[in-house]
Amino acid sequence: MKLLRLTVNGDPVELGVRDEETLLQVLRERLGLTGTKQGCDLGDCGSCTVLLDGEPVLSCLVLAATVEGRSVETIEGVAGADGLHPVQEAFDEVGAVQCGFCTPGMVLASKALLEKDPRPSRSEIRRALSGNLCRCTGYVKIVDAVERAGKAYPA
Amino acid sequence: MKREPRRWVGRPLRRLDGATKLRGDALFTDDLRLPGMLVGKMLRSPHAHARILSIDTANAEALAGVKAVAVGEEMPVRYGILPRAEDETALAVGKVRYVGEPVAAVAAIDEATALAALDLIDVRYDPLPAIFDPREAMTREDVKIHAETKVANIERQASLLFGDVEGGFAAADHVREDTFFKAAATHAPIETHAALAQYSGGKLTLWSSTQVPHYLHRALAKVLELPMERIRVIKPFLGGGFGGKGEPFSLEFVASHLARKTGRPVKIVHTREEVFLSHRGRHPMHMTVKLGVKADGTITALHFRNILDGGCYGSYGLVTLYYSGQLLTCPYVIPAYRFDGFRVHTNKPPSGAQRGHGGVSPRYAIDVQLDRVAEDLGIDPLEIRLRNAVQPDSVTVNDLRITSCAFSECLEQVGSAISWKERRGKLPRGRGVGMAGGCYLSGAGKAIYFNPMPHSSVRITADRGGGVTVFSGAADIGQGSDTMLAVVAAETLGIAPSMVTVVSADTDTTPVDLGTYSSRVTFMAGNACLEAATQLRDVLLAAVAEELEVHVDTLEIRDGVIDGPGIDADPLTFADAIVLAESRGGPVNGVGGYTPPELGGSYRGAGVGPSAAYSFSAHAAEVEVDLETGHVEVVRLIASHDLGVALNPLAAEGQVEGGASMGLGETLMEDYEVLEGGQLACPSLLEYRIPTAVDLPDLETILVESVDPEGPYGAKECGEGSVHPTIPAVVNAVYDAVGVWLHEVPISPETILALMKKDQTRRVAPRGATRP
Amino acid sequence: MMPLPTFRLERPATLVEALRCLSETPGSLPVAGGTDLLVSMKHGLFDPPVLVNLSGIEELRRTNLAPGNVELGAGVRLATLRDDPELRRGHAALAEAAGVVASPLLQNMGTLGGNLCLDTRCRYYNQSAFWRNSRGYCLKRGGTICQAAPAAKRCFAVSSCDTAPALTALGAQVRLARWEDGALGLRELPLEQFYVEDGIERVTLRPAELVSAVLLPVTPGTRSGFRKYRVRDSIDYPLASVAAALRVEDGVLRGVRVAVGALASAPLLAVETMALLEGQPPDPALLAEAAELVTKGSKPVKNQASSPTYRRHMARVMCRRLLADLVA
Ligand SMILES: Cc1cc2nc3c(=O)[nH]c(=O)nc-3n(C[C@H](O)[C@H](O)[C@H](O)COP(=O)(O)OP(=O)(O)OC[C@H]3O[C@@H](n4cnc5c(N)ncnc54)[C@H](O)[C@@H]3O)c2cc1C
Ligand code: SF4
Ligand code: FES
Ligand code: FES
Repeated sequence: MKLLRLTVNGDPVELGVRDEETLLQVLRERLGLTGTKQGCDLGDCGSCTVLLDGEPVLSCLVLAATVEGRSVETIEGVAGADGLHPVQEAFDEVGAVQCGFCTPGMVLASKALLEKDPRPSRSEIRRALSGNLCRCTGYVKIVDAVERAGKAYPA
Repeated sequence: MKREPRRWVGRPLRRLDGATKLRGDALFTDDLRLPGMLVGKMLRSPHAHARILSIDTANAEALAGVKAVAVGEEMPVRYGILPRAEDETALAVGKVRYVGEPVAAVAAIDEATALAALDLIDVRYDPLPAIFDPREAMTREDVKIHAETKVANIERQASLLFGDVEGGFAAADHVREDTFFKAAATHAPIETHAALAQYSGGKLTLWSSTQVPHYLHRALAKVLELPMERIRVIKPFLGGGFGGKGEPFSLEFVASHLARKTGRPVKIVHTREEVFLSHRGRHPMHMTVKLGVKADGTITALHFRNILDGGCYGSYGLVTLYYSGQLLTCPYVIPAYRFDGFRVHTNKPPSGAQRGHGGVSPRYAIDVQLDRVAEDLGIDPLEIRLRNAVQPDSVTVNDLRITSCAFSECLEQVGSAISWKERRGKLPRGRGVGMAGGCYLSGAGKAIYFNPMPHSSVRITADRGGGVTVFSGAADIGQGSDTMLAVVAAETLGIAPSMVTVVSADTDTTPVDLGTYSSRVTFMAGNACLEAATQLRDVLLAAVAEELEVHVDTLEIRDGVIDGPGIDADPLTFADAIVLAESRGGPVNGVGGYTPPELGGSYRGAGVGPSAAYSFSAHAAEVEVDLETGHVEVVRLIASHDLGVALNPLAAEGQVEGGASMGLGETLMEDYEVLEGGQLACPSLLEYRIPTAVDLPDLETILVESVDPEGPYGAKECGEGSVHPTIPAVVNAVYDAVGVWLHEVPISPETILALMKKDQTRRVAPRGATRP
Repeated sequence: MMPLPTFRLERPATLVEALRCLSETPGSLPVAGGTDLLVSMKHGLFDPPVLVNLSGIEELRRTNLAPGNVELGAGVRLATLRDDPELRRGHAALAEAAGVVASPLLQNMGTLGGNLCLDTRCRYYNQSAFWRNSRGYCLKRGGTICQAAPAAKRCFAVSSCDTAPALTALGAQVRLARWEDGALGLRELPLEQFYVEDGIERVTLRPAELVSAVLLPVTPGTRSGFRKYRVRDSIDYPLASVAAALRVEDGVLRGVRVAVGALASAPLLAVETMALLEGQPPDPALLAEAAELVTKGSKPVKNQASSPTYRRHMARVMCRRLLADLVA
């Protein structure tokens, strides 16, 4: 058991975690943040993507006790009180969401990309999202959405 | 055919549930939590074929934190999606037939305890010889996977004969026969199967990731021996199905049973490996195609033989078997047709229905064979397709009724998009273009169990604030059927889709829809919704007409406002109309139902294949083949789809793109291989490779509208037919690029290299017509 | 989910502390990015009593790109290597290799040290406990035969780390650290000596020893590159890979080093290829001939996707193309 202090979606959180608990388990099972999905639990699918200090990582392969003091952003923290984030808005507008299971991970990976480079090429977008599997869309509209969302960022 | 201008139909529309999903608020089954909830886990067979001698659960039951253990004998009633093939039990009884078959289950206070308990269950097996090749299984009388099969392990043989096949071949100028193999594929939805059961007050509630709440409802009643009115099935948000959640699964019965046994809610979530073991994906097919044509390419006869590897249970297999034969008489006119098929049991996880059910692999074989024949005769592949293309308002040789059909236009559109005439056969070696066609039904004409009721029913209620709620049993599995219902209701009622709430897939509150399979939902639930909304509109307008003392036919609802003579001054809103109607006699609502017309022939097997409408599709692919490595890159894929009318083009394009991407995955990399011994070669999303974002081109979609006379606002299917032409389009493009024909899919660079080498050594021989 | 077995997690802040933790409990294992080890633990392949987390150790994340001597801490993430403009220029093979490990997400997590110490891989080994129990165990874990080559007495599990062949071609050394008689013991080894061509033994690490850094020689004018064959262009492990480094001086090739990955239980130095090219003008025919020799000495068995023959073929094609690119 470890006492863990971290920031989740901007809020300070303090809780006891078992040494072998993953960040994904803690988010979903302890904090009730079920927006982060589990599609394989082995690092193969990307549905569990969260931002750790702004970088997209797979929470199913992060030991919770190792993120002491760090900042985690999950899908629940992306939209503001005044509405969807530009990435979410673009996904919605162009039809990049079907079943929605890959969506949280896709949105977070896209957001991290655009924060570094708001004008990525289509192939750069594809590369950045290539660890996030989507079985529904064939990715076309997801790439469209990221391209469009980038325009909302200052170049 | 041109369609009428509409207010909402045909406009790109956001999904009803888009924002919810994007915010992470959408609750999928695994996201649900109930007080006192237990975790359920299943123990699975390590043997491919074995008798169960004994199961000792005492140690597991004694473990602290274990609340219940279940074994097969507690639920011996057999089930199966097809009433004619009810051959499964929730947990194995007496015998196991594949590696991974569930044998026992536990419910415990947490996952770790449940897993520890599984280790304490002692199962004794007597291993039996196992068979993994259907061709071997067809003759092995000594190894019976099911005692009931009459001949070896042949579950079912199907033979169909239409027209004068012998005469057709005799009249042909060229006859060509080849064999093809398409490996198994699996659905691989990103959400794994999950079920949460609660049993309280004598009533079972099951939340499950199911595509078929109604069939599940029936199966639960049967297996758990509970009356249907004491069972409620709810489908929460669902993370992709593609057929993989299209029938009742072991975990649903087991969670329910354990909940009843413990009195506490029980949740079972499959690991990714368990999803692969549950399977029900594409049958491996060993196919032989004999095709006869006239010198001008007109088809005279087709003989198709198919051996389907069914794995060890029935699943949808009988339907797959018939689909694999029945759907080949379209989209090319086949005047004489013979089909001989076998579905055979092997000791593998059951094959079942996957997106494009039954037709995908045969389509590969036929559309490649058509190119081969065209090549033999020196006819352009586009030309031979146009020459044989099925036409609207016709009947196929096996009595399928074709109404709306824009197949020729689909072909022409992809042809011009890829500059076919200028490029086919004219690109530098290594680069090539290819094409293929396809068709698919808009919902099966028959329900899975015989019954006289509608296949889909919808109820719409109106509230005083002007909103309406659509109640439908249809399961939105990500394809967007909820949004489709809202569009149909909004269009019909003259209000904005944002005024429509959809409540769906809850057997307590929504009228029955048979489920999300065979591309039936838009057509059937859409029609039911159209009827219900029309009824509601009529009730509202009747009330307004009475109030204003005008004839009802003079009134209409447009953008939420009633329009007609006598209401120019003070606008009368939709909400006002509801208040008027409600004041006249209680709450207003509309109901509607859809039953497909009686269609099809009267021969054995005639029930599989008929549909009220067929979609048509054509794909053109451009590939780059690396001459040294054999690696194939699909540079472009253009998919045209005759979907009648695009109710929501965004959703429709998404379906076509998704279908084509699954087709590309199956062409290039997906192989659900079972090792000798019965273990899966690829039981993970690492080894079972579905395409990543960098493995696919920007798929290009062309929606073609033929306005179906019976579809809701002219719409028909688009989610499954879009898989059909992909494989042969790519295989045909590879031929154009490097001159080799691929008779096995997934295609392998290694095979391409080997064939290219062989081709070079015999290139001296002239290519041309041969008459075997 | 696939829950992890229980263990005690140590979170040392210094290298010395980490080494002491490791030496205190036999069987304890270091974990860096966790992207290999945690997967294997979920599969029941390891059940260590203690995991020593290296990600909090500042000194392991240090990099020193001083001219003439590049030192990379074992804790540096692959994404950092991939994006570093200095490395991309001077040691392209490494940056390219880091950029094709798994997927960009995993590159954000995985470390250089973890990559170098990646367990060897095999279709019969990297499976769940259920799967291996059904199939039967093998030499590498719990069994007495090799499932892939039952006649063999050894394990052919594949060295699948992408940075190792790149670093081998670049002539890198690893610095190893251990806690010995109350003091920090350091040693440096060329990468070729760090690996053992055996699927089970695989590295020459002693118990409780860590890779602390990678040292790279800097030879002006060196060009290097990395090529990888896999089915999907992301996520997948390599089925074959080739790395090469060379200089063109006065019209001839100098300092040629070529290594192949994923064709054996260790990265292999392609000595015959190197010997043929050294001191010769970069003539395309010679490059092609040299590339044909690159798979000499590798005899992979069928324990991955794709056939051994084809994987070797791919290595030769990739080698020829890579050499051609480097001399262009
Ligand atoms: C889906 C998937 C795909 C992958 N594809 C690839 C791929 O294509 N190519 C590839 O190379 N890898 C691949 N990997 C493996 C892995 O992500 C990388 O190799 C990564 O670099 C491992 O680093 P890590 O820090 O995460 O290692 P860890 O998992 O933390 O450690 C790996 C091993 O090294 C040991 N170790 C870690 N640090 C040290 C140290 N400093 N000294 C001594 N021992 C140490 C650990 O005890 C463990 O045995 C893949 C992984 C996944 C999940
Ligand atoms: S190569 Fe043989 S011994 Fe080694 S992991 Fe594979 S099966 Fe086991
Ligand atoms: S759940 Fe983490 S990568 Fe699949
Ligand atoms: S939208 Fe379903 S997996 Fe991506």
